[in-house]
Amino acid sequence: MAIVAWLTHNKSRIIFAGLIMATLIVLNQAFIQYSLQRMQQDARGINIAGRQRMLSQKIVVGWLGLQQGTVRHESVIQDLEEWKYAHHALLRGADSLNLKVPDSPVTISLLNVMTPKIDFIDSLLMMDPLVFNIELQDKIMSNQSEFLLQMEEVVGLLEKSSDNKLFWAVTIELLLCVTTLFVVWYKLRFIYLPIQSDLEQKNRKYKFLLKELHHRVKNNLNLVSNINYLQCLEEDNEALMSIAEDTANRIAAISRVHDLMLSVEQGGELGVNVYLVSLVQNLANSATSKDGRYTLNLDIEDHLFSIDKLQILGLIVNELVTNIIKHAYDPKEGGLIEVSLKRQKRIFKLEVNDYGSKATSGGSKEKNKGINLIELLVKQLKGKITSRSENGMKFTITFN
Amino acid sequence: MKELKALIVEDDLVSSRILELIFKKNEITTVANLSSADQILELISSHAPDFIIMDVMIEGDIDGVEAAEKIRQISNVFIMFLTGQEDPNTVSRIGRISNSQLILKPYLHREIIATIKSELL
Repeated sequence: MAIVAWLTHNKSRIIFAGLIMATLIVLNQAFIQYSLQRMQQDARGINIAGRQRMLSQKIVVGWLGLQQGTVRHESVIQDLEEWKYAHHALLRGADSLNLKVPDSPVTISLLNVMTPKIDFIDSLLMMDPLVFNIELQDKIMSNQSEFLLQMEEVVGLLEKSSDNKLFWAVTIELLLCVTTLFVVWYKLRFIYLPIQSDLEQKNRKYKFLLKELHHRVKNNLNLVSNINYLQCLEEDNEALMSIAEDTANRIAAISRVHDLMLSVEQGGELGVNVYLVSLVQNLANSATSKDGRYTLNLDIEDHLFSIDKLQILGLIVNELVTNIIKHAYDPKEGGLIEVSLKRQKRIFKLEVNDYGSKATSGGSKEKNKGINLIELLVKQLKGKITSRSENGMKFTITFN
Repeated sequence: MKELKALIVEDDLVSSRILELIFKKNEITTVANLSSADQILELISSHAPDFIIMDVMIEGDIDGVEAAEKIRQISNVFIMFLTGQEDPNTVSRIGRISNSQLILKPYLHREIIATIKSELL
């Protein structure tokens, strides 16, 4: 029960599946190595059995050679010793030849039947003096040919045992392979896919919430702006209306950042270009009356800024452009508004220019208020503002 | 200049009050200020407005476009739709309403007045 409870967690499922995989790999390797070793032993056994058959014939030839005096006794004895040693190795196993006792009892009993044949040859070759006659020769011949046949049978049995092992090795390998595939499937089906779909679901939820949040913030800003506007409208006072309109524009500049953030959520860029261009265009459009039109010359390099910086930049541009619209040109005529943002080395340079005949700085009290707000915002940006009056007003703001 | 009569259907009451005051400044009378389309047909019959300002997302069972479809069965009054979202489906539904215009939020009051004047005067 504890294991079942433990397995409900994804982390423990991963560990569990990993352990199974590791066990399977170790089992697989152990089994393969074991089977290979066993099959190698069978191969050695087959090899030695073949050599025994050759030796049995060599001893017959040796016997005939001894009879004719063409072969030395020691040489035949050496073959005999080798023959005897290999026979006992096949029967009981021998470390020196890397042989183990045969698996099959049939093989063992067959080898046991062959032992007296070796003992018979051994007793003949150990006689002193050696006895040669035709009767003995026939006996040796039939003894050796029987040995040959029986050894052939042993080779057959060893081969069969080797084939058997191969069959089992392949079968178990296949089973392990199927089990491994099953574990892989289990991992995919019950571990990775649920995690993935869970993550996707969460991601969708957060995206939705984020979108909703931006909408809420925008709606709330809009509501604040509208309430303020309504209040001023009800007062029916021109000065108040002008303040309400300025405030509405400032709030719109702030709200626009949320549009930008929403577009980033949908794969857009948080670039300053899109933001400032739409901001200035909107100000110019709202100021364009039946008679006066504003021409825009916008040269804004696209750089990435933090949201805070972007918002302050937006407010500065909003103030400067609003000032131009209000004071630089005759509203019935309109005129040219230039905004550029460039980076030189590590310093950003924002320029807002007009070519109007009326000054946008100094002068009336209201204009000064606008300039004060701009100075405050520039200070917050840790930048510097300079202005010069030369065929209109040129404002330059530098910041890092 | 003929005095125009407006009917406003907008569930954001601050926005609708602003519109009403702006209209007043421009010598347009607001005959009714609704937040749903519930009694709109009766109001059109009794007040005969010159144009209707219709928010798409309004209170009640039907949205602004469905309300307009109902209005078209009794009147061909000019309808100005206000919507905050450029949902293609909504835009195409509005496109099928005759004698109407779509204005996206946030709108400029100046823009609304200019449209009314060019359409009706």
